[in-house]
Amino acid sequence: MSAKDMFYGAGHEFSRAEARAYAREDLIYNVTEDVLFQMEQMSVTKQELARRLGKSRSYVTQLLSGARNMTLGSLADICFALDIEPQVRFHCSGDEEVVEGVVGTPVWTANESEMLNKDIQVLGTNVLDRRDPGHWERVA
Amino acid sequence: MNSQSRDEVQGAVYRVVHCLGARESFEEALRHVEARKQGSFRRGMVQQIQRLADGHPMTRENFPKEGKLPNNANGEGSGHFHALKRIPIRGYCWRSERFENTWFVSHYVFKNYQKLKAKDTDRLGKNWTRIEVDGDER
Repeated sequence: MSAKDMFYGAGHEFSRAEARAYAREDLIYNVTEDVLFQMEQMSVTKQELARRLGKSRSYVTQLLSGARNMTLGSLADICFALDIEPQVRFHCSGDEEVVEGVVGTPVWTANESEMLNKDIQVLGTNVLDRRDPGHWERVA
Repeated sequence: MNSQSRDEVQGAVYRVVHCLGARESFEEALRHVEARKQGSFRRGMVQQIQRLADGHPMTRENFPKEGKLPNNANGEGSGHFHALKRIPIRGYCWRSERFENTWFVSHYVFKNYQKLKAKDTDRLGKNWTRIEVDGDER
């Protein structure tokens, strides 16, 4: 059950266009609300954020009200100005497990032949460091 | 509006309940909104209530304290009520002391004016008394 049931009849089916509009507005609302909450926690006003961004207050107001389309670039700029790090998570409808990172990317698997190269160091679980340690020993 | 729509939602944290007449007041408020924007306003209010029900942080910007609740039986203040803001629509609501983890939405208004009207405080106060004091379910 969701809040939709309070404003639409039980069994009301969204058309594809309406479902898409809902999904778009839902993301915009929740992202802007999260940003606004961070600003309130930090006591950063829209005026101050505008100053940090080098933009007008109305630009910030429009972005945070959803009236102006927020690009990933402008969201990144806002997060940088607030010194906060955004995290993006995707998951398929109905899935319990949340996938972090880029959706649709094939699962990374190690290449066996690469792993046999003695100069490769494995850092963590999925980072390969191809630097030649001997090179750095020579120049040190 | 379909008359079979539900009166409440249970989110991850809170239950949010429409008081008697709240849905009708939303439809009335929506009638003042430009026809082509009505769908967006309806979806917007759904999103706000879902966020509230799921316990995500609400902002002072879009969920401000709007006025004082009536005093309780001991004559003590019961705190404030809030407004779900989707300019120019407001939904006035309070967190229940009688029903655990429950928010009640008293009614909605088309608010194209600045100050809270006494009649809205009064309407919310009557709903609050009916539920918090007299024990009505909604």
